[in-house]
Amino acid sequence: MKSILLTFIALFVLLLAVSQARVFGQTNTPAPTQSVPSGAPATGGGSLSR
Amino acid sequence: MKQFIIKLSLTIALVLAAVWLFEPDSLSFQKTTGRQTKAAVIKKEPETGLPVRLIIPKINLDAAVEQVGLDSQGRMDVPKDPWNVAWYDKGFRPGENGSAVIAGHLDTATSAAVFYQLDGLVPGDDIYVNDDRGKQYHFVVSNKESYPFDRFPLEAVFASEGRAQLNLVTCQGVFDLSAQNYSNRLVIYSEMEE
Repeated sequence: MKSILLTFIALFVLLLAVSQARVFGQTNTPAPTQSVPSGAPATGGGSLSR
Repeated sequence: MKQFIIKLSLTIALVLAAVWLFEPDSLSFQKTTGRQTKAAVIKKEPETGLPVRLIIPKINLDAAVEQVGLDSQGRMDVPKDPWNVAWYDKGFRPGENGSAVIAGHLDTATSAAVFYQLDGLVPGDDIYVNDDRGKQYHFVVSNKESYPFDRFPLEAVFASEGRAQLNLVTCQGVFDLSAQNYSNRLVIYSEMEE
């Protein structure tokens, strides 16, 4: 019985540790504030090059 | 008594596990840190306004600024009017610390457009941006580069942090009729004068 109790306490502590790690992991990840496009703008129609 | 403690512990552990699995933020020990996380990612209202005009005295340019995001291919979009310029509104604002990007057409299928003289700028030339709060920002050209369109340094042009910069982009090079695309992109780099 004692071992079952210890197992559940250990499980609870582990759960607490994992959930805290998740939260701190999010806090340390910088928020993406700027978005980089996948390509340069298509700013020409071609009349000056022909 | 012993059995009661075991059952109580078991019940608490199971309830907490269930709550954590389905709604992690609802646990009291996470509430404080959860709020801090959200507070950290909320973007403060920028001190600079939205750009409304781009003025470059050397090439007699005084153009309205459109706001654009991405086109259907994920590229920076372009101004609808060839005599307007377009500010990339998913990036930095002119005057903010970081590189703001404004693009303009070199030409259309039938005529020149707003940035057809942009290549005439050299380091030291002045650029001004007016925002919608009546403030004017003064930038000075620091560099100009031409890149093949498929080797455009996107991160460097769009995502540089640090000092307030303004990068102007237009087409350059040879027009590929089949692809309807110029071979190069010209970038005028400028830095804000404090």
